[in-house]
Amino acid sequence: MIPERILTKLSILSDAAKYDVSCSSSGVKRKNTRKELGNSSGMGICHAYTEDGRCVSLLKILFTNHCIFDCAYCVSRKSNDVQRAAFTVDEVVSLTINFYRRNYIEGLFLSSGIFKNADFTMERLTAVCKKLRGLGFNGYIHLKAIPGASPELIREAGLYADRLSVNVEMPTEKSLKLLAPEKSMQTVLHPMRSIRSEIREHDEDRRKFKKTPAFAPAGQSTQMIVGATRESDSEILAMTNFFYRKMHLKRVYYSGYIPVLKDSRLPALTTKVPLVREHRLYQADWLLRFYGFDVSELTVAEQPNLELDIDPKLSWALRNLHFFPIDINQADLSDILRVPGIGHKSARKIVQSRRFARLNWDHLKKIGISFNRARYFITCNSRVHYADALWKPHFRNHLISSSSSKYEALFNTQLSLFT
Amino acid sequence: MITYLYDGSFEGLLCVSYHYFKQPDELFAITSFDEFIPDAFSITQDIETDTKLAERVMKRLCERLGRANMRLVYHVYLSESIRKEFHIICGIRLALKEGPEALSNVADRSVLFLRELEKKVRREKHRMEAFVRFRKMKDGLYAAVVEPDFNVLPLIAPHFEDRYADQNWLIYDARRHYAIFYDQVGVKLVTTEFDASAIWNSSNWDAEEVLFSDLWKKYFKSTNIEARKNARLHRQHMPVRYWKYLVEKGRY
Repeated sequence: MIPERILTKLSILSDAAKYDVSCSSSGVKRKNTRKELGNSSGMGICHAYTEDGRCVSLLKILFTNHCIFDCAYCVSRKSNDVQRAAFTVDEVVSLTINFYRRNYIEGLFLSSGIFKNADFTMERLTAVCKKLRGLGFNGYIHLKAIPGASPELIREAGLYADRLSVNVEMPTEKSLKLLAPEKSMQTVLHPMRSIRSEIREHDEDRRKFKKTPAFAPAGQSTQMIVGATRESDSEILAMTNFFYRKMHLKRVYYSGYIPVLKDSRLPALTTKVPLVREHRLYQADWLLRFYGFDVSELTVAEQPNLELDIDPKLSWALRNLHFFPIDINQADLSDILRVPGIGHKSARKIVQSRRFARLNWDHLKKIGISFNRARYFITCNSRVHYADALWKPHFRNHLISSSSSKYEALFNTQLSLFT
Repeated sequence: MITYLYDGSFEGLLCVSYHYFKQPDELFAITSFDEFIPDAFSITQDIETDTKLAERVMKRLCERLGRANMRLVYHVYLSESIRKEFHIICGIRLALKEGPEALSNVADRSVLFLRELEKKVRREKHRMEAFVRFRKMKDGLYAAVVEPDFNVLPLIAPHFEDRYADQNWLIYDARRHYAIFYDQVGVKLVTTEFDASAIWNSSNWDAEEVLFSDLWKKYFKSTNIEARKNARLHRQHMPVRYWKYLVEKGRY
C-alpha cells in the first residue's frame, strides 16, 4: 500500500459513506473458538465518538463512490462533481484487520456506489467479506445489499455478513420517483423480501440441523431520509411499522436530511438539519419496539406530525388523560411503561422492588424515574400526590415551562423557518 | 464498635466476612491497614488473609447467594470506594437473612449503594473495552496504556483474551501501576516496574504503526458530519479524561 494514496482514498470513501447512520454492531454471537482474530459477543461496543456525537463502532466506507445512478439526495450521484476513488478488495481487508487488531473498531460496514452494474458491485462486496472470513476474522460485518443484484449473490453475501441492509431512503414511491428516478419502491423491497425469506428458511433449517450456517444473524435494517421531501411523520411511521411487522427488520434508521447539494427538488442549502424531528422519530420508534405502543396511537389524523416541543410519549399521555393516574404499586408493567418520565429500565425496577415494599416517592426517586415529569401521572404509597394537576386548564403549559429541554435552542430556530 | 483491619485484598475481605458472621453486630467498620487512622475509641481486630479460608467462604457464599450476586460483590470491591466493605457485608447479611432476591431491593440503603457502584464499575469496564488503543511494537506485541477510574483490568481480561486470541497484547494501568499480559496461552498479571513511555516512543513501533494510526485519525476526522456538530454530546460519550490515551484525540 502506498501511504498517500490509501490516505486519500480513505478520506474520500469514508466521507461519502458517513451519511449512512446505522452503527449497530450488536446482536450476533460469532465466537472465537479456534484462536483466531475477533469475537462478537452479542453486545456492541462504540469505540469512539465523532464531534457530532455519533458513535464509531464500524469502519464505515464505500467500496467506491463511482455510481451510475443519479439520486438527487446523494453526494455520490453521477452528476455531482466530486473526486472519485475505489478501493481494491485487499485494501479493504487490510484496513479492517489492522484497525480491528488495534481495537479501533468492531468490524466493517461496507457499502458502495453502483459501478458497471448491480451484480458486478455486489460481487466485489461479497469478495471482501469472503476473504475476511477466510482469514479467520470473527468481527462484525454489515454489508449493503445492492438493489437489483441477483438473489444468488445476496444469498452468498448473507452467509458471510452479520447484517444486510437495503436503504429505502425515501418513505414513499412518489418521493422516490422525484429524487431517485432510476429506483422504485419495488427495487428496494425486492431484495428486502428475499433477505427476509432467506433468514426465515435458515432459522427453520437451524432448528432441524445444527450445522446449517447462519444467514445474516444480526438481521436486516434500513434507513429513511427525513426532511428532504414533504412526507408527514405519520407516513414515515406507517412505513416503519410495515418494516418491523411485515419485513421483520431489526432496525429502521432515520437520517435528518443534510443539504449537501443544490437542486430545485431539494430544500435549500441553508436549511438546518431537522435534528429535533429526527430525534422525535427515534423516540416514536422506541415506543413501537419497547413500550408496547401501536403505530396508530402515535399521531392523530388532524396532526399527522409528531410534536416537536414534547416527546411522543408525553404527547400520547396528554391526549389520553383518562388513562391516568395509575397506581405504581398495582399497575401492570405494560401500563407503567406508558407513564411519561418512566423508562423501561425504571419500569422493570419498579415491578421488581414493589415485591419487597410498597413504594413511595423516595423509592421512586432512587430508582431513577424522572420525578418532575412522572409525578402527575402516578400515585404511590404516600399521602402526597400531584395527580390533581392533570385536570387543571393549563396543565400542558405548566409541564413544559417547569422543565427545560436541551433541544429548546434548536427547536426555536427550526420554528422560525416557517414564519 | 469493632473495626476489622485487613490487607485490602478480595481474599482478605472474604476472611473478614467469615470472622464477622461468627459474631454479627449492627455496629462495625472495616478498613484496610493502609487506610486506617487510629483513634481512641475503636477496638480493632486484625484479620489475616488465609487463601484457603477465602476459597471456602467464596464457595459457600456462591451457594447461598448465587454467582450473579457474588459478581456484584466483586464489582463493588473493584470500585475501590471507601465504605465499600461495610456495604458489602451489610448486603451479604441481608441476603443471608432474607434470601438472595433481597439484593434487588433497591429500597434498602446498602443494596442501593452496591447496585449503583456496580453500575459505575460495569460502565467503566465497558468503556475500557472500547477505549483501549493498541500500538503495534517491533516485536509484534500490541501494547496499550489506560487510566481507568476503577480497577477494571481483571474484568476486561477475558474480553480481550477472546477477541485477540492470535496476537500478544499488553494493557497497562498507569494509575495502579500494573498490567495484564497475554501470550496466546493465557493472561498474566505483571506488577514489575514498567516504563509506560516506551509504548509511546515511536522508535519502538512496528514499521506500519504510523501509517495505520494516521489512517485511523484521518478516518475519525472525515466520518464526522460538520453540520451536526454537537460538542456536548461528544464529551458526554467520550469524557475528556480519557482523551489522553486515545490515538484519535490524544497526544501520544
